[in-house]
Amino acid sequence: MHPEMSLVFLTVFAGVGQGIFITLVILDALFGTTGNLSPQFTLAAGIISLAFPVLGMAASFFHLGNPQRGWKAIKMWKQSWLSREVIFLPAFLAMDALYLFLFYMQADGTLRLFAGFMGIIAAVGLYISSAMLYAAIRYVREWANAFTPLNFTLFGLTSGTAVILAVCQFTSIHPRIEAGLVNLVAFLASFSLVLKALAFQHNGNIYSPLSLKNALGINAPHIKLRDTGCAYETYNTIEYHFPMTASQQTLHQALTLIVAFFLPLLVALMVSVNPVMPVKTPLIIVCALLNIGGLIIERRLFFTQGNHLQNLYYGNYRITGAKNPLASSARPGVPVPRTVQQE
Amino acid sequence: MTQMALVIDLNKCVGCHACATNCKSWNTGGQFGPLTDTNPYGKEPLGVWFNRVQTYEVGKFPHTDVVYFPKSCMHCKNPPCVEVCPTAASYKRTEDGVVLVNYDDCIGCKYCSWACPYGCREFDTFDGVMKKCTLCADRIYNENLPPDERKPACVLACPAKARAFGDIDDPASEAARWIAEEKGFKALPEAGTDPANHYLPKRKAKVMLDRDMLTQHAQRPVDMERKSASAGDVVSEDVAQT
Amino acid sequence: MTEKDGHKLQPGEDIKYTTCYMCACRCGIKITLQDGRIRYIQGNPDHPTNKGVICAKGSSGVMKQFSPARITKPLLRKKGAERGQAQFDEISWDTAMDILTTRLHKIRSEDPKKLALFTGRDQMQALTSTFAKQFGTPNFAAHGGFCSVNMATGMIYSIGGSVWEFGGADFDRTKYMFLFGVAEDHDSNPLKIGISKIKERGGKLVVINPVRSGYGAVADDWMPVKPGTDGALILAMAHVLLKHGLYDHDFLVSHTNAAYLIEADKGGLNEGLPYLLEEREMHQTQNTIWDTVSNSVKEAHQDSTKPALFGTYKGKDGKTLVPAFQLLYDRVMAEYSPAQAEKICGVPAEQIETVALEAGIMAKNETITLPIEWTDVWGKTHKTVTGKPVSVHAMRGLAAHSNGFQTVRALSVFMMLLGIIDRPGGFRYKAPFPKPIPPCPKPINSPDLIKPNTPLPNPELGFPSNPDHLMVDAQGNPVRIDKAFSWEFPLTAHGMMQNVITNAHNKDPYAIDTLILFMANMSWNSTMNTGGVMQMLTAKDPDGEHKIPFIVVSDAFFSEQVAYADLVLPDTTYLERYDVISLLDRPISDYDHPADAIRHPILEPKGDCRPFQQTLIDLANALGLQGFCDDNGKPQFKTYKEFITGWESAPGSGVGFLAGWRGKDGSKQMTGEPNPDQWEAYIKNKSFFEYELDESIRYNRTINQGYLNWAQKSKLIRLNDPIVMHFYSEVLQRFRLAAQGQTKGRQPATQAQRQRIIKYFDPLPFWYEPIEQTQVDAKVYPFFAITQRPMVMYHSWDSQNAWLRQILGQNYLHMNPEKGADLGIADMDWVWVESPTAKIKVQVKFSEAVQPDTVWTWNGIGKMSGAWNLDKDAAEARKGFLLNHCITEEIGDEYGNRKVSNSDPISGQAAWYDLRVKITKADEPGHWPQFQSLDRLPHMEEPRKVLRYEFIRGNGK
Ligand SMILES: Nc1nc2c(c(=O)[nH]1)N[C@H]1C(S)=C(S)[C@@H](COP(=O)(O)OP(=O)(O)OC[C@H]3O[C@@H](n4cnc5c(=O)[nH]c(N)nc54)[C@H](O)[C@@H]3O)O[C@H]1N2
Ligand SMILES: Nc1nc2c(c(=O)[nH]1)N[C@H]1C(S)=C(S)[C@@H](COP(=O)(O)OP(=O)(O)OC[C@H]3O[C@@H](n4cnc5c(=O)[nH]c(N)nc54)[C@H](O)[C@@H]3O)O[C@H]1N2
Ligand code: SF4
Ligand code: SF4
Ligand code: SF4
Ligand code: SF4
Ligand code: SF4
Ligand SMILES: [Mo]
Repeated sequence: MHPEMSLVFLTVFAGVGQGIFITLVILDALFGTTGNLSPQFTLAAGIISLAFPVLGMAASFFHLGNPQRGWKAIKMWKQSWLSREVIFLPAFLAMDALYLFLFYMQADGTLRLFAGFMGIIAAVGLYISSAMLYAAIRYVREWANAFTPLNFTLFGLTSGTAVILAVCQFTSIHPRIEAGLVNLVAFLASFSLVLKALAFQHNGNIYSPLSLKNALGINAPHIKLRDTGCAYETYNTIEYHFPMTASQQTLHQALTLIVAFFLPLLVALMVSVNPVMPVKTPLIIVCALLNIGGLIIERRLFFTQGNHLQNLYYGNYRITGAKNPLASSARPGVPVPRTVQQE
Repeated sequence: MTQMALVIDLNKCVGCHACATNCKSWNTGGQFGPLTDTNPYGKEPLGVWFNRVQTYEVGKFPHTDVVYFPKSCMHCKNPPCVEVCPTAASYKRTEDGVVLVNYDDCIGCKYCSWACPYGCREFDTFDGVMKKCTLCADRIYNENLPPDERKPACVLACPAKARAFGDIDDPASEAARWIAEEKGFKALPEAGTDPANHYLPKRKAKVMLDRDMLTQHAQRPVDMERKSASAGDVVSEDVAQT
Repeated sequence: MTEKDGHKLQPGEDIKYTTCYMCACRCGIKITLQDGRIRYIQGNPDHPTNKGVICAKGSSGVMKQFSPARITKPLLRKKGAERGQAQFDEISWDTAMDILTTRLHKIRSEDPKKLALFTGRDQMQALTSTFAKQFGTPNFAAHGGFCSVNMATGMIYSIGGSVWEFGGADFDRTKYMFLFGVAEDHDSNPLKIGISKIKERGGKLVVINPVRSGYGAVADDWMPVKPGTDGALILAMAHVLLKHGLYDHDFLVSHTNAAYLIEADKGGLNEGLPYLLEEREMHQTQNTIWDTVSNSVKEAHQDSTKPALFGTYKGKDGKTLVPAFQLLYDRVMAEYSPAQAEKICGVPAEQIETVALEAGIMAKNETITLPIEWTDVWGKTHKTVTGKPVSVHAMRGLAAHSNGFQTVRALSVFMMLLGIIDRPGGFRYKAPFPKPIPPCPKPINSPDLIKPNTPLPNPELGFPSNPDHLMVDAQGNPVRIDKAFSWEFPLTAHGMMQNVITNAHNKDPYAIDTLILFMANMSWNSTMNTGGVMQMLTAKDPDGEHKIPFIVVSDAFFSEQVAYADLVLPDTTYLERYDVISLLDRPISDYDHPADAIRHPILEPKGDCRPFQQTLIDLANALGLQGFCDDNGKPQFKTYKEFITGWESAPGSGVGFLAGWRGKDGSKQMTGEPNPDQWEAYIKNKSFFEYELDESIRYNRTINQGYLNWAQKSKLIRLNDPIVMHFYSEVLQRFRLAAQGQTKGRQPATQAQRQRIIKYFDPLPFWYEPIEQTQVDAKVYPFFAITQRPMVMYHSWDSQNAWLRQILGQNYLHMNPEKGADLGIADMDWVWVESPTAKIKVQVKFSEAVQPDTVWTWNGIGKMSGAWNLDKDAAEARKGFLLNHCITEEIGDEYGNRKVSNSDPISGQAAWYDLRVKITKADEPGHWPQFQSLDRLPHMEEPRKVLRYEFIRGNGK
């Protein structure tokens, strides 16, 4: 699939915001009354948790052809994950804002925590609906699997925690909590690392039994696309296809794992081992930035790896095997296929 | 149920693209138009089409078949594009099964197109809405048109008569008869969308060579003619007369 | 709300009918207009040609009106600017006409042949040829020479009719059809409708073509023949028919000259000519046959006789006489067995045999009998019409080779053997065909007939039946600028447009002054050696004068040719003008209906466009040409519209351009006095006229007395004599005799010419290797290279069409993957394609649907950068390519060093498909050669960036 940056930013940034918020509310619930969290911390983390999704949402408007009537998208909440996303995102923002407002107004803690709890529900709903929006596309096998919701949620939490940790560097927080957060980041990053590696492996092993035979209803070997009937790119060759070579793909996979998870993990471990190291603050900031930057690479790759079934008709469907007739129908720049299929 | 659809006979389609351009001609000026073309005379034109024709080769020389595959929205009975649309702009008409987009509700999120396994939706960047084959909804019941022209433009145009239109759930319709008589099939049934449009397979005509005929009948005229000829071989007019 | 043809018209809505001209197929179209704008173009359901369907181009007609390439002002080359740079000043029509009239006036009063008028893909040769004839120049021709004249002459000289508007397959009954070398053809919609009917019937379609595509895709059998070898293949099929007696004895005897006795003795004035009865009765024919009843020579076509097809006989005078059939039999049995043919054409012998047997047996077994009574020319009345469901269609795959005439002859003989001509289920004529073999008009045949200020006594073009009809001077040299009707190219019934620029540049045979090109893109896609020809168009003599002094181009669009013009006349489009599709030219008749059609303006002409027809009338009037003006030089017709209704072929002849609604009150059909209201009558009848032939005169028309009488009465033919098909071509033999020195009349001037004619003018069909290929080393140039018509583009003129170019904007060289791999070439690589004369760099696309020794591409996609007002970096210019660069327009004369046109030595057909090339991998992508980009003409707008052709704003609900 063609990676649309507006969607990359939406999902990554919203995910960060959700992660921050969830962590924040949990910290609030655990330590809010103990005075171990400074109000600056809560306020700063809260504002950042709001800012990220707002940025993401702003980006998402660039994706819409008619953003001015975007509100109409809530209509089909009963069946469309996109509708649900569109409901959960503002719901989350609203709860987030309410939580912040109550915090600011120093209102009753239970009320605040209730708002926070509702926000968590919205955030999880948003994680799930955002992810399911992709996972529900049956015709992109790289998306339609359990990794998608797991990844979206886990990566969001990881980045949220990493940001929170960064916020801690500027506001006061109990060192034990901070240390816990460092370990949490390390744990989430290593978990993410494993999960993403598994997801990549899963993608690499996807075996699609479908070929042009099925697309055209012709039961014969050696079917080759000769002409798309379109002299130039069309919506259907642009939107669903992003040329990437095998080495580019490997590079991107490695970058994702290293930048988004491995380096942050390393930083977290270093800080965990030596909590008073001199360059801790910059390191932790770098950790958060690396993680978010890595996630942007990850999310972009998530799109480009999506191999939509409709590509069968346009010679852009990736199927491996040198002997496979489709392999030769691929256009120049088509990634070298990752799965093995024999006709 | 009524399910309007197209049936395309791959055994007749010569890949002329008439269905594609006539579709464009009718629909760009129609109720579901325009079909915007950006940069039409430039380096990289990008136009909206409801129907496109692909060419495939099957087999290796000299046993090669060439298949033209015209493809427009299949008006699936189980349309994932409708299911995922957050605004209900994409809908399937209950009365005739036609899948349509209400441009006034469409927010241009493109989600429906992702959900289509066939690549049959096209986004109009200018209008910011999703467009697609309407099964010529503004022709097929249009009382302002003569009754025999209340058909999709592509069907009217097709010079090879490779396209039929009708209610595939009504066994009496031409479309249903084509499917029944020639083993019509659906593209990518594995996608689970239950497409309403059908294709008819290639069917090679075979002539049974009656080789007996060669010995029984055919050989004879040559033999007979040659016999009478050889009789004449030596006879010349002068000889006969003098 | 008003009703029209079943439409309930909404306010501002209207329905109009006219004839499409997105190509030469002449379909009827129905146009829905909304407030004067075109809302929709569809096929006219009542039209005989397309019966309601329409093609991809026709459907995109509205985009022609949007074309940014429209020329809307007369243009004069800027002083100081070179040809090819497309630097023009806008001028008024008055100025343009002044320049032209002055120039033509001078030419006409000095040497009329210094005007050359050549027309490309137009449909008004009846008018343009009349203009040239009345002007007095022999230098006129339309596109036939570079198009498909082999198909036309090969069949017309054999069966008195041809394909397209002249005849075709009886799709309503045929069950077995051969399709040779057709990608799209002129008859594109009728062919598609017809093929579909065959498929519906479960009939079999056999496609003979190096490439499988288009119609080939739906073929039941594909014979991947090597280019230029069909002659061998067809004769091998004839071999199978002959071997098994699967030929139609009765048909051959009654309809053809197969049984005629041919004088077989060598030497003398009559060698190889039909043996004639000494006592010449006043009968239609004095040809003879050997009667096996009386064992004697008898006049042909006598009821009491039983003609022999086989044997060798002696006439009273001791002459050796052999039926033509026997001569063919001997040749075909000896030289063209399927196994022998396989070696030439690459199609397996078994496949050749199988299809020949299938067709032959079907023709024998499955007789179609129609209860229709008819009377033949010998007075015999038949209760029924019979036929066979086997048919044949062929086109440029046979025609565009230098052996095409003889290949088409072979095909005609194959049809005669099967007995499938003008009978149900087979091939059938369309009015005004059949015509005598060859048809009556003869070209002017002497330079002495060209006189200042004088019309020519005969047309420029015609059908020679013997050397006396050639247009050569006393020394035997060509007189026409294109060297048509010369000893080099004798039967060039359509002229040789492909030679005009080269010959005019070389001043061979002489220099001309003004070249008018109408609707032809001869600096680009309709020329061979494109690069060289562009140089010739700009070449100058030492005195600074252009070798071709003045070039006038009438075009509707900014084509590559326009860039090379001195004067550009902006034409209208087909939706903006009056036109006729006339029985005098290439009408829209079908098998049972002589028919013609018109166009009338649906839209206002754009800018200062003016129909070229009107320009010709204005010119004729200004020059005072007879026929257009009265004897005092006073114009008779002010407008083209008046000219069409008022003009008669001869005073009082009753024959005009249009056959419908003739007579003062419009009550007459086919012939009758001029009717000033004829246009309105046509428009009322949806822009066409159809005459229904009586059932009894629809078949066997060459020997159907009723038909011949009717055709004579309708002035389609001069005499109502029977038309006997030339199984054996007496005409070719007459030329051969002249070349052998065995005639009293004109003989070729040089030994080379003699040898050439002796070799190629064989009265019986045979196969020879295409001439250019005999001069090229096949080891160095291993691939045949050919082009095909894309169904979505018309030659060079549709890339400006916003919709069509989105379908086909770049062409590739299609080649067999294994051959590619052998050469280290991968799919989509860029390669050099090199012929002995030129090379180009193009992109390869592998295909399994092409004969492995052949590479092919779509015709006419490549464009000169900037032309047609497309982006200078459009794919058409940077990636698309023209194969024409590699094709040479002149080849070596095999008997001398002189250069001759790369054309069929009989008909003068351009041999586009004789090309051989070698292919090597290129290092860099991108098309080569690139020429200087053309700048947009001053009056042209920048093309729009967004095109939204809309009427009602969309709303799904
Ligand atoms: N859409 C469209 N229609 C057109 C035109 C157009 O440009 N576009 N042009 C019009 C004009 S002017 C013409 S003349 C006609 C031409 O109509 P066609 O004759 O159909 O035109 P070509 O594309 O030249 O097709 C020649 C076919 O012969 C095959 N061929 C080449 N060499 C050989 C050979 O040696 N033997 C055999 N058996 N086949 C061979 C080629 O592969 C090709 O399929 O089309 C007319 N119709
Ligand atoms: N390599 C290769 N070359 C070929 C062929 C091939 O098969 N292979 N085919 C050959 C054949 S068969 C043919 S017929 C020729 C065709 O070649 P051409 O006759 O040159 O045909 P076009 O390229 O279409 O050019 C016709 C010109 O007419 C102009 N035109 C279009 N409409 C109008 C109008 O209404 N009025 C006027 N005045 N002008 C108009 C166009 O702009 C264009 O410049 O090409 C030949 N060239
Ligand atoms: S073909 Fe695609 S767009 Fe059409 S109904 Fe089916 S899923 Fe929807
Ligand atoms: S693009 Fe329009 S029709 Fe498609 S899902 Fe979005 S709102 Fe619905
Ligand atoms: S049914 Fe109408 S909209 Fe659909 S492809 Fe055909 S012409 Fe186009
Ligand atoms: S119009 Fe008919 S023959 Fe032509 S591409 Fe479409 S379906 Fe095929
Ligand atoms: S075949 Fe030619 S004349 Fe007929 S509709 Fe198409 S472009 Fe027009
Ligand atoms: Mo042509």
